[in-house]
Amino acid sequence: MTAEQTTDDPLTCYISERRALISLAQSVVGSTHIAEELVQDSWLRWTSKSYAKEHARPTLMRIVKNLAIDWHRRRRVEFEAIEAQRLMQEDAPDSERMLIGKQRLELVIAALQTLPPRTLMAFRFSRIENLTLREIGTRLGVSESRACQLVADAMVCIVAALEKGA
Amino acid sequence: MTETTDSQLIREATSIFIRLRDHPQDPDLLSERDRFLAGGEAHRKAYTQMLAAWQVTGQAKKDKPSRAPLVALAMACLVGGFFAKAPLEIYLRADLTTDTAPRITRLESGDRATLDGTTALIDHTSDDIRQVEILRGAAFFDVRPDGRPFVVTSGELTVEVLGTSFEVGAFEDAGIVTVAEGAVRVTMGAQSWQLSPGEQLIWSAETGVTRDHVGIAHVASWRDDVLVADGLSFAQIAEILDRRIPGRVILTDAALGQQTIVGRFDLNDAQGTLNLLAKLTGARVTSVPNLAYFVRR
Repeated sequence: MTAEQTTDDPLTCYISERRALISLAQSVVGSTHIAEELVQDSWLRWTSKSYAKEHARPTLMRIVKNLAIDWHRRRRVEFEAIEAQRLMQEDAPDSERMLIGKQRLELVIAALQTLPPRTLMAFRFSRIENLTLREIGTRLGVSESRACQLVADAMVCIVAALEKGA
Repeated sequence: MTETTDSQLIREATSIFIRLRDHPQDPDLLSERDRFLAGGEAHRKAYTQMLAAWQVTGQAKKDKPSRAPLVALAMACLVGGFFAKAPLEIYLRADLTTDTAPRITRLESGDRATLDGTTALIDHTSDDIRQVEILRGAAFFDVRPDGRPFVVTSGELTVEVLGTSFEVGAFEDAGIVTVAEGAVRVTMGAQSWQLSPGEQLIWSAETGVTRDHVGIAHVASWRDDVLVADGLSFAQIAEILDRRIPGRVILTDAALGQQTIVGRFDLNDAQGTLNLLAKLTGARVTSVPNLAYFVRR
């Protein structure tokens, strides 16, 4: 067996690349512990499906990345849903409980149109494209904290528009 | 209280919320939020207003560059609102939308389309071509020959109707096209496939394209409020149920999501079906009515 074939053996590859896979996962989820679990899961996924053996390394990398992104996204959705419960607990006026309505959307759209382009972009990246603040900063060429300020500016404008229309 | 103070509180609330959203388990951020909320009624109100505005703007799950497609044809369609029922962007763009109930409608061309719950379409029909774009959800099309081609697109997938009736659906990272009658051609990038009645093409980011035979009677069974699952994963079924349930269905267990389900389920009572599936798979459902249903083991 040549060295090249050895590298291509999926299990050998998984073991030898484990550190790289973990650090890939960690860069997305931010926790070594979670990253190790996801890398573990990636092997289960590999064995449960018939992937092409000769592409073990890139395939494992892709599986780990997808699992990590998925994990992160779910935590995020979960966080948002949990925070949203506050809306029900708080003794908020009805106008704040009626979360979605066509009129409210129109108010929001009108408000968004008044924003400076970069503020609007930051908001869109955050809310619509679900980027992290770090990613938004990279796209706009600003720091993470500046990206955070821009999104906050947009929210101030939207809240004001909704209040005015309530 | 002055306008400026109000704005400042909204700004702080937003800053805490969106940083926490990136790092939901960060203990420093969590205590920063709790300190903010403990700051008094004005603080709590600002946080609530910010959350309400966040909800209104909807969360469009969308177009990560890597993301794909959709498909469908004569039979079943899926797409999913894993994240949001009503992404702002989709509302802004769609010509036809449904809430959680399915609806039969006529397209610009006069052809009949049945839309599943939480579905959004753009009708691009012109004098030369009948063209529909599915933004989310699933639709079943009954197409009459009228001299113009009939094309359905979804993400990277294009379905061209060579025959009469078909369904197209889209999942988050997958698409399904099923043909009931006639024939269709599915195109994705440089590849294309022709499908006949009873044939189904499933595309997924992970496994690529697979073709299969299904019973014609099962094509777009959601039209009769029935879900026929034959090898769909729990995650895909969750997306279908999500279309019929007010609020989001969220699976918090990746292994559970991959589990394959076979069976016939009632979509009239999507919440009951979700509970049943959870029971069958040893999971449990924690619900926040009208907002979210968490499925976990």
